[in-house]
Amino acid sequence: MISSDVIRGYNDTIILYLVWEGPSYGYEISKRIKELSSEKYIIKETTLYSAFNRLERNGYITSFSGDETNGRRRTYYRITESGRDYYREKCREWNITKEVIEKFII
Amino acid sequence: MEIIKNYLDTMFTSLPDADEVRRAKEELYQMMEDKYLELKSEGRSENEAIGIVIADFGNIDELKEELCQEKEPMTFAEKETEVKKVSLSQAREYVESVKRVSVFFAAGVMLCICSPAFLIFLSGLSEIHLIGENVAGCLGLLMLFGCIAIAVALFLYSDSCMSGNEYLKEGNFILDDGVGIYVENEKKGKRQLFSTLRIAGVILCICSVMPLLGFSFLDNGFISIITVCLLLLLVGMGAALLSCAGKMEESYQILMKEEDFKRDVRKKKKQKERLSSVYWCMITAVYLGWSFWSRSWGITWIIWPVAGVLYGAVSSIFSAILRED
Repeated sequence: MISSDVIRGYNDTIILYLVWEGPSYGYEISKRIKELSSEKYIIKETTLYSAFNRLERNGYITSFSGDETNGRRRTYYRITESGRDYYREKCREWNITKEVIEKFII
Repeated sequence: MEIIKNYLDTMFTSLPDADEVRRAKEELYQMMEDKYLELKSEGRSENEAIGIVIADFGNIDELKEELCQEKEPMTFAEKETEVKKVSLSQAREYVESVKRVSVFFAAGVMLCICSPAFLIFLSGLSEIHLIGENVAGCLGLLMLFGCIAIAVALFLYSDSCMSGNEYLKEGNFILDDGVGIYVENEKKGKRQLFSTLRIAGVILCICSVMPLLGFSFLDNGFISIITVCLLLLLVGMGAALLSCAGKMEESYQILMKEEDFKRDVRKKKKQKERLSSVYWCMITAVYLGWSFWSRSWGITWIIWPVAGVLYGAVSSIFSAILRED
């Protein structure tokens, strides 16, 4: 398990990656994070929602109400163009960060 | 399901009853419900499923922070003293635009320095009677002022390109997480380039006198005039390289808030900038006054190299005085 402090700055990046190909909703995103990280990172619900809120406020994603499935409507999130730009920027930032931190790791 | 609903209700009691909060609650409920149903379908017991859902809920304070920060309007005083956050893309954009602008600036510097070259060259031509003295003077002055006009236009243009970034120069900002690392890294990568530019600039300046000295034995008026033109050209190129390197490096120093750009040093720097503008305006006035009065444009250019060296002395004395204060 990864401590949430370490990963905090990159939750946005993870979410943007997961909505890159197409819109997705809260639980699906949290499930895919768990799967892709081989259950090493399980994102907390409040963390996930805070990130959605922040990303939407900054115009990186938009939300819309999906079709009804099993009698329930889910909120879907879709990436915007500036969200894609931001994601690329974060990837570049991560590469530098990784390079720097690795210099201090045995 | 009832338990999850109650749990959420309890968690949200400390949050205000606002649209965003209701939306957050609904959304969280959706996610928890999805998770709960999936766990159940995997064959977990009711208790187990609820336990996992609640364990993965997280921290309500995190949500409170996120939702309430946009709710509280900033007071006027807070806005006034607000320090800007500089994101990675902003920092990159700034460095990039300085890079672009520094070329214009350097071209302006070069034009300023080379501006008398035509005049000197034409007066040389008139001395060997290839063209009339009046034509030489007229054309030469036209070129001189033309160059200066273009240079001023370049300076103004590069200034206007940088408007909107003043707060960076004033040091009224903080770098976003990770941006500092990026800037430092970039700066390190560019160090080689900067020092190469600097060395080339200094070499050009030093070598500029070589043709003048080298051909002085010929004692030929026209050739020495050509070498003077060459001198100006070389000094111009050297200064352009130096200013280019200086400007680009400065952009990194500004972002990193290095020595010269800390708040207290900036005040002194401003005073120094004032000195420099007064100084160079006066030198230009003396140059033009002397030249028009004596009509010996072939000699008066000597003011420029002398003034350049003198400026070093004047500015050192000025900073010594400032320090005493």
